[in-house]
Amino acid sequence: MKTLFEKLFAILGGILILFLVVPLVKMIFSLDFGVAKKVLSDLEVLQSILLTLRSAMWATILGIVTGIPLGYMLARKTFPLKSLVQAAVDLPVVVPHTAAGIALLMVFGRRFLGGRLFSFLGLSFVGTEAGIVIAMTFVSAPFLINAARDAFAGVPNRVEEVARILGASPLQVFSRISFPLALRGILSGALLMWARGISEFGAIIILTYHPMTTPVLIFERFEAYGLKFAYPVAALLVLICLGLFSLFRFFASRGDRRK
Amino acid sequence: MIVLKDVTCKLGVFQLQPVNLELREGDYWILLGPTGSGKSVLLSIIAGLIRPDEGHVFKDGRDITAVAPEQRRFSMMVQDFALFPHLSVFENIAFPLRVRHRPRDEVTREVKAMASQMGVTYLLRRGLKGLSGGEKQRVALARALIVTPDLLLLDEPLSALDQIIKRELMEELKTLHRKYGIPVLHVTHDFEEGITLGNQMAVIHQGRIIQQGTPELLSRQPATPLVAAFTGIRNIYKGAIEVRNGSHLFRKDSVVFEIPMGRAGEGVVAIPSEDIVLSHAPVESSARNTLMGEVRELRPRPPLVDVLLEVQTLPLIATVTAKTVEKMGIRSGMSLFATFKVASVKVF
Repeated sequence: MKTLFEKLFAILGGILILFLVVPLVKMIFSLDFGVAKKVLSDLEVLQSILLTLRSAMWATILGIVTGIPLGYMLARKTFPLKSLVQAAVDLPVVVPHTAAGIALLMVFGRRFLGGRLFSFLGLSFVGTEAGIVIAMTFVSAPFLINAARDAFAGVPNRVEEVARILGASPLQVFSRISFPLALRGILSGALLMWARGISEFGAIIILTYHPMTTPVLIFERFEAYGLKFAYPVAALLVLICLGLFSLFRFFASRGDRRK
Repeated sequence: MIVLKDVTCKLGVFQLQPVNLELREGDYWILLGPTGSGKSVLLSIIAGLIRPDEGHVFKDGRDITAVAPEQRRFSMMVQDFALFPHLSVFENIAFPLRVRHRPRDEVTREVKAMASQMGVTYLLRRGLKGLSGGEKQRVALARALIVTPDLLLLDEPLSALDQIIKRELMEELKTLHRKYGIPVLHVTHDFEEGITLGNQMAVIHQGRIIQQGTPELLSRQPATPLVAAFTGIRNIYKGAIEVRNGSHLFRKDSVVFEIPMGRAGEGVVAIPSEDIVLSHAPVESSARNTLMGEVRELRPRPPLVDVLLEVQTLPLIATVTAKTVEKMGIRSGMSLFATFKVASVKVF
């Protein structure tokens, strides 16, 4: 028998879940089969979806390589200005993403120092896939860094200390103990970062309108042709994302069962 | 041989006072102290996890104060075992060999031999889930001993276990220590554990080593009331010492008994509960102190029983065997005489 308290909480939570799910479900179920087929054969749409998934993947890889060490340092070490570093990590979450795009443009734009330096290496961030990758990295890295930090903080200190006394170097403790134990949290952070990268619009549209990622393409079709031409692309992107996340969750739960 | 020379360390408000300690080949050292006394800090300094502010740690004459923990060739087992939850029992035991890059065949051979020695061969292919406290302890011990360390550090290794397994494992630790001869530093707050296992003991309190020596010396001649309390002496009283006609007397409220020595004034005395003889009538013997009291409570501590007497306002515990309780028909409310020798009273 549920108490009044539980019923109230279930109703309030249920309202939010409906609010989150109904628009997406409606969009998917409104999809006309014929239109979907047409969208699927639209090269521009397919290229933009591939570009979005690929760029978000590169951003995530960049995040993994740099964010895991940072997450570990934040969880385990004390260093000067640590709280400032933590605040800097969280900054992209609170900054409006169009503003983040402007900020990135003012560093990596062709007329600015960062952009010029990178142009020597043959790298340009305006109107290129590299630009999409850095925009995605900027806005989504906090998810991975914070997840890695929390995962490392969850590894008992004592376990790492005993490993060292038993003969493991700091690198061996990290690779054999801390990292494997934090892996699940890191993976879920990486997945979140990838998902956040895919959905990014504001920063990308400022830095790199072309080539078009799917969120930009949806916006453009909505502006130029209206809802009828925009929503099939949106529905397709949502379906692909849902499929991929379900797949990841399935493998993650299988991994858990094995443990 | 491990030597600590004037080691001090400040951690927040905690201050470890200069510590001097010598761990010789074959020693089984017990570091006894209450929670927060600094025993784990001292262990961490020896292990190399904490750098002391001052002083040095020497191993066989070499200063290892700045040497990293992994290069000290020590091993450690802790209260919650700190086993690696993502590794199998086999890989847990093999860990010290793997990080030393030992060949695969050697790892397999040595892990199997150690597992057989510790009686955990049947667990080797399993994960850690579902292992009992005793099994985890054996796995942790196997992992600690597989590289034959130069010093084995034990941080409250038996605290998480129930009494039966604890006694069993104490025997095992004793046997292993005899067999390997590895010096051991065992941190605990349990004197019974200490006296069963150790041949050397140090009592630490508020960051200071109060007394060190053999467990027998500490229980026979405790330097302070705290050491007396730690060594299991429960009858500790604060009162007035009087010197009358060459005799030393201790007075607590209206209870007076003779003590072997002491300066007149305020003092603390302790009477080991095992040194008190109970009788239904006053006994003629060489023991000069006889007090009459009423039995308030019987506290079984198999195979012993603590009999709590109330001598006027003074609580007095006498430890006897369960058989004695039965034979004398001791029960609550009964009046008994408690007799003890003047020489058995410790004066601080």
